Amino acid sequence: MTAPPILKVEGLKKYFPVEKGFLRRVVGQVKAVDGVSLEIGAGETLGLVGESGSGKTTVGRCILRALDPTEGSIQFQIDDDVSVDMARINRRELRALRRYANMIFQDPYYSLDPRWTVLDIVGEPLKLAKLADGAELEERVARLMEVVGLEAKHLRRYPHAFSGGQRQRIGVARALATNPRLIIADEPVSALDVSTQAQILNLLSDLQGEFGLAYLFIAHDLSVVEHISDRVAVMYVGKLVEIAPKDQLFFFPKHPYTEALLSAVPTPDPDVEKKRIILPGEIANPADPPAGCYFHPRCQYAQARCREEEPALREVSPGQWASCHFADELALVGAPR
Amino acid sequence: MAPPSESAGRPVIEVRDLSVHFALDEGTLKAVDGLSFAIEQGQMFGLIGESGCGKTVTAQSLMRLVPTPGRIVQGQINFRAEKGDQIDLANVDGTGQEIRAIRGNEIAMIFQEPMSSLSPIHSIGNQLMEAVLLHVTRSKREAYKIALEMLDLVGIPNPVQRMEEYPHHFSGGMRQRVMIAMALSCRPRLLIADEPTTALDVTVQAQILDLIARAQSQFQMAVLYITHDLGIIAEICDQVAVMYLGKIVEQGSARNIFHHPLHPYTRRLLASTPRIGQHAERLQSIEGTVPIPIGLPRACGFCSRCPDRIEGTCDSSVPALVEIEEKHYVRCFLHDERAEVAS
Repeated sequence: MTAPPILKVEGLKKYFPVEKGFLRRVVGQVKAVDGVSLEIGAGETLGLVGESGSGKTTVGRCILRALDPTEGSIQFQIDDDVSVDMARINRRELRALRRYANMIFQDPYYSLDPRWTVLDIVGEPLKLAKLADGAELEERVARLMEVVGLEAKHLRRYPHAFSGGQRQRIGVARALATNPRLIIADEPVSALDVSTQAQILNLLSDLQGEFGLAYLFIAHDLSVVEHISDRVAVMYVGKLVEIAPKDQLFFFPKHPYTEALLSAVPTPDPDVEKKRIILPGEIANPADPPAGCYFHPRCQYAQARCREEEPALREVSPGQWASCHFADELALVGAPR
Repeated sequence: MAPPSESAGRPVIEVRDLSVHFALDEGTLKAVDGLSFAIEQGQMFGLIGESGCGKTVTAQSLMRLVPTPGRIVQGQINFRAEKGDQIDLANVDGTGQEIRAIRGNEIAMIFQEPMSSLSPIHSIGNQLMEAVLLHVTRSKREAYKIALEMLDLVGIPNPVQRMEEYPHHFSGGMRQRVMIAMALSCRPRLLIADEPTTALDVTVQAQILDLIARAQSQFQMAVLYITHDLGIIAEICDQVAVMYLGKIVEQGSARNIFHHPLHPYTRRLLASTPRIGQHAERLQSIEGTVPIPIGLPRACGFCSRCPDRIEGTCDSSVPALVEIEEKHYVRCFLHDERAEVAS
């Protein structure tokens, strides 16, 4: 990483209480996010992968305070010399900070209000931050439309008049409106077709180059994540199991779960012979995770120690962190080259 | 593994010049437009295309489940039934006795969203036994035995207990296993899989793909595998057809399609798919969007988005699907000048 991080998350936890009965007694905790620490540098893309229920969306939502974290700190560098802890600020302060970080959602159909014109949708964050109004607002929205590859003359159209890819562009324009430093993109291309997906991915990298944006790119598709990210973090049942620069993570994984994930990605080449690792069983229940390493019941390398002692996330090689007792000994297989 | 039967090599299903149209207020939507393909016993046939290309309507028409106002307007769907006699599914009564004896029995289907295909108010056991009681046996005890065997076959632990449970007790991957158990319970000759792993995580997807491949070799089924995911097609299919705007634009062996694609659409589709280790700064994308197939001119469907189009040719007639190399068919004027005869 070149610049000092603009986002530094430390020990982030988000527990959801499990309630039961008429009196809503709390009988347990779903540990959706359980001690996640990560950093994102200015202009950097950190990919966050994991299966459904791993807590990756919850991490993104906690960072923007769409959810209140249970514990941990979220240091966000809003300016070159001003840093705030997003986890500790109140609602009123939060509103003033919204313009510095924004979100792109998965579904371009449900995330846009059908009764609003593009001008309303893209202009709202500008209005709320009191950055523009009236004719100036219209001009800025028109410019944003052009930036994301839409025609400025379609300003007064409603979302239904646009295709899926174009709607996602509207979502990107809205996220860009206030010149944020950080964009959290939660599965931004998974609802799109391959050819449209390529258009949006190209748009996101162009915008990053132009505006120096940092992305937290949350996705389950590893090929997409590998394409767009500088570094990648892998989550399993609320915890990071590995975080590393992308080439290291994809070709020299240090955690057995990363290895299994990589082996499961279908390769678009019929001649590539590879051994798919079929994981037994299912992802652990975050309300009742197994003892020791959460992954041990499905891990083909598990030993007695894994059943008892929880591994810590440690630096295995420069920049590459993994939480496996045997990260140094195992010779794991990466993605086929 | 079953021994190859005497009928191997002859297609289980042969679709000829099939067209399915939807009469809408805006005009006639040609969802499937002159489609032909055949699948042999024991073959995994991949049908690939983006949303709106007509791949799901194709599957629905093989089962005669095209929703209204869709209608098969021309073509044949020749299905070779168990006893060896051939039946044209395009010309049977869509709600009649004949199709009901085949649907769910000799032709079975698995869908993308297993939750909406299973009834929430009936136990898994009852739902599994229903099809068996309808098509295989009248004895409840025997049906129970078959259902139990099937759950075990698809790798569901504690099948006896699971038989009593309801779909909401199951995870997404487990529900898809139940769907597969249900589809296999009548030993179909043709299995249609319409994006069965799209809603699943990649490790679960690997489990399900493994299961489908094992079931296929065990029962020697013909499989029509429909997906938009090129990776899956490359891993499991023998034959691949690429669909665009209701037509097959290229068809051939998986190796031909992935290593030697000829149609400009296939080429661009492959180039726009991110690959691990590719290190491309930018992905190639296909400009524009898929047009809606209502009132389109007689032209190559891809011509508006094709950078290689020949002005005056591609926009004035429809290219024919021509065998360019052995068993490699392409519908493109860049490779053959023959046009499709107007019908």
